[in-house]
Order: sequence, then C-alpha cells, then structure tokens
Amino acid sequence: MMADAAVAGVGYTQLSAASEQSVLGLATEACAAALNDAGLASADVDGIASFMVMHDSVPTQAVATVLGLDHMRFSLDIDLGGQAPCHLVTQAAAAITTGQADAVLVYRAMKGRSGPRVGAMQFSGPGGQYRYPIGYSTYMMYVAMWARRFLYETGQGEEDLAAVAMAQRSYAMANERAFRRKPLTKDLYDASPLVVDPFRSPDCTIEVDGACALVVTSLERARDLRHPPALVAAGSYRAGPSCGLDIGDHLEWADYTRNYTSWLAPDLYRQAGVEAADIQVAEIYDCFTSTVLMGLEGLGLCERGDSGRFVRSGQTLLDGRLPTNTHGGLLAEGYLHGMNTVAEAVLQVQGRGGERQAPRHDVCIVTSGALMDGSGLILTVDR
Amino acid sequence: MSTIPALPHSTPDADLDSAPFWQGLREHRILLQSCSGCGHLRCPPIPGCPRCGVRTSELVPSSGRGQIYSWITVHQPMGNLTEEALPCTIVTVQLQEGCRLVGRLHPTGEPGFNRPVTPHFIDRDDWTELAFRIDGTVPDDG
Repeated sequence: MMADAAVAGVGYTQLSAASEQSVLGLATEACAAALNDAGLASADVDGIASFMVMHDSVPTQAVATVLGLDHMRFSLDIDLGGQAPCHLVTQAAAAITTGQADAVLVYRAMKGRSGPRVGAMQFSGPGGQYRYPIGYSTYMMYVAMWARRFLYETGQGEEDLAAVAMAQRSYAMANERAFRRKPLTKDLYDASPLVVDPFRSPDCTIEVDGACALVVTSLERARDLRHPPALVAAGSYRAGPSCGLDIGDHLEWADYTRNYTSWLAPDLYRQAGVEAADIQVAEIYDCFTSTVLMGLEGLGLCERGDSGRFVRSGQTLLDGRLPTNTHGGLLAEGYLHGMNTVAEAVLQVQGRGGERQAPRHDVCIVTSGALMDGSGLILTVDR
Repeated sequence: MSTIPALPHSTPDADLDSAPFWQGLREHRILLQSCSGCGHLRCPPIPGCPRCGVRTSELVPSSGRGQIYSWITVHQPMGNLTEEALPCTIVTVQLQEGCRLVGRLHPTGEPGFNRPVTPHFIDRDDWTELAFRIDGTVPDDG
C-alpha cells in the first residue's frame, strides 16, 4: 500500500541564527518551495501535516490560509518532537493511498534559535515532577544519560562520538545550507567544552531558525513531475515497552543501550521487502552523536558494539559502505527537528545530492527520534 | 564542600498519583508501587502496571540503596541549573529492590558504573529532595 505514494519535492528556507520572518512566514516559504520543486501549484494540494513542541510553531490551518488552499481535505497537527517527521510522511502516504488526499505538504517550521528553544524546554506531562525539581531538565541530559550506558555496555567511548561529529562535519563542508561548515578535527573536538558529560559541544545539534517541507503524492502522479519520485516503500512508528509518561521519562525503560530503532527495523524491512544489507544510504536522526551509533546498531546496519569502528574507518563517508547523514545531520546542517533529515533522504534517492551524492542510492533508510519511540521510512527509486 | 543547593522554581507538581511518593519522602521513606498482579515494582507511581496492566498496587518501602546504572555531569547552565549549581552530577540508580530512580549525587565524589550508593534526603521548605551519595562518603548537610 505504502508503495503507491512518493515524495515528489522538497523545500527549505535559509537556516539562520535569527530570521526576520515569522514562523508562519517560514512555514509557507518552505511549503511553496517544495511545491515549486515538485512542479505543483497550491491548487494541487489538499492536505497538510506538521508537528510542534510546546506551541513553538504554527498550525496547518494557518499555512493553508496563507497558501490559499481552497479544498483542504486532510489536516494533521501532532504534538510530538523529533519522532514526528517520518511518522507524518507515513500518515501522508496512507492518506494518499486511501483516497483521503491527492497531495500532502509535510513541514516543520520553527524559530528554534531566536525563539523558543527545544533544548531548554520543560515538557508538559506527569513525568516532569521527578526531573525538573532536581535540575534534570533538558533533553540533552536524557540522551547523555543513555549515551554513557550505551558506550559502557558496548565497549565504545568518546572517540566514537567524536568520529560521528567529524564525519558529519565533512559532509556539511560540502553543503551550502549547513549552519556549521568549519572543519572539525579530533584536536578541535577534544578542545571543545564539555556541555553535559559525556557530550561536548560538537556532539550536540545546532539550533536554528528555519523551515523544511516535503510534498507527498501518488506514485503515478509523481512520475509525471519534475524530479524522479522517491518511493515510500516503508513507513512505521514504534514505541518500545514502558515508553514512559512523556519524552523525558525513561525510568521504566529497561535498557538504555537500545532505543526504538531496535523495534522499528523489522517493521521497515518487512514492509519494503529488503534487508539491512540492501540499505545504500542512511539518514539517522542525530540530535546528539550517540543516537547515530545507537541507530546504526538498532537498525542492524552494524553489529552491536561496532558502530564506532564503522564510523572511524570511514564507512559512513561517500566512498564507504554506507554513506550516512550526508547533509551533515542535525549536528551540522541544523536542527529542523529531523524534517531536513527526511528531505536529505529524498534528495539522495532522487540523485540530487550534488557534491555529497552517494554513488549507490536506490534504497535509503531514514529515522526520526532518539529514545523510547520514533519513526522511520525506507525510500527507494521507482521500481 | 558546599551544600547541595535548592534550585529555582523547584517544588514538584505533585498529582493524585504521586502524592503518596512525595509524602513518603517528607518522612524520609521511599515508597514504590508493587503491582498486585505480577509484583513488578515501579516508579514513577502510575495507576496501572506497565508489565501486566493490573490497575491495583500497594506501596512498599525501598531502602534507597542501589548501584549507579548511569550518570551525567552538567557543566554549563541550562534549564534551572544556574552557575552556582554546577558542575552537577545526576545519577540513575538501580535500586536493590529492582527499579530505578534518578537524583543528584552529593557529594559529587567519583561516580562509576555499579558503584553502590545510599539515599540522602534533603528537606526543603515545602518538599524533600531525594539525592544519593556514594557509599562511604559523608554528607555535610544531611
């Protein structure tokens, strides 16, 4: 069923430290850019999906108004964080294949640097009372708590986190959109400040103002548009057992060395009819370096405990076995909450990666989320 | 050694599910929920068992003793951690009885995997904070 939908185009605003536009302005600029990229007009769109955290963005209804949509049939606003982008594309694909919509825009827009910063937010929910009074109060701390245990149990260390940051920075240097484009050496990494031990500043995403959008439509329609379709071969959301009271509560989560990707992978591979060994490009959600290592292992793209060596040996670069986070990731391109991670996957499958295009790009896996729950897609070339 | 500081805006938002836990800490007792169906010990307190779904439980005391499962050390101000509270080490403790709790480590000492810790109750104006200390270290304000 999923295989009847495709991503046809992507759009971005500039990523900046302080945008002069409103969030609504950013959202509509990215959506209009995605439509233009695909060769579609506003009149072709009848669905919009988006997400926000603690009211940091604008509802789809507002974007529909600004874009002048006169026949919106599908609207989805969800209250999730980085788990959302692949999940929303999955919902858009399902809407299209069940006849609820013909073309759906999916966006994330935020003034994540000059406005409300997700990294400093206190999330609502009953779990907060156990964390905020003692200063256990930011998402970075939660991922760091998992990262230390993960590195310990898998026999890896700080040099493996550093390798992720350095590999991705090398991609960002070839990406005009990227916010962090200066080279990152091991010496620079080692000299950078500890923020939340074990994370240094290059282990952490860089918050930005900006927006990113995709347009999803039927495969049949996408075949007639400007660029080759990126087929949605699989789409799934998974939460593991005892997934907590909110995105910061993981006291009942049994194993901090395995995140949702361990549960998600079988779903994705089964739907797409592929195996881990068939994946040619990976775009793995990376609010922090550790989630790339955990994702590579959870998705079965590396053996347990081997992801750090895999990255250190250059296997995630363009001439390696599995080009990974080819835009520089959220670590270096910027924190558009993983929507840009999906957009990069689309560009890679479409063969539009330019200087950072993976040589083999028929089958790409992309994930959204870091800890207990998240979502993923497998995008492929048209079959 | 300095006293472990209270943080701004730090009174817990207790609710109907958590009130007994916070009242327990006020009395320097750690109360966990034990599932009536499968005996799973859980924290935070919630109205049903995440393992078996049974919605009744009884409160049982925990020694608060356990081992460090993981930890972080915060070096830069963020959230309500201001400069005066840094560096701040926060530990996830695997309790002897079988579930996990999180708290500040005080004195900071040298955290390590599986290092034994004991509870350290700190009375604030309107709530009691549960911190931990590494076994054998002496609190200066406890």
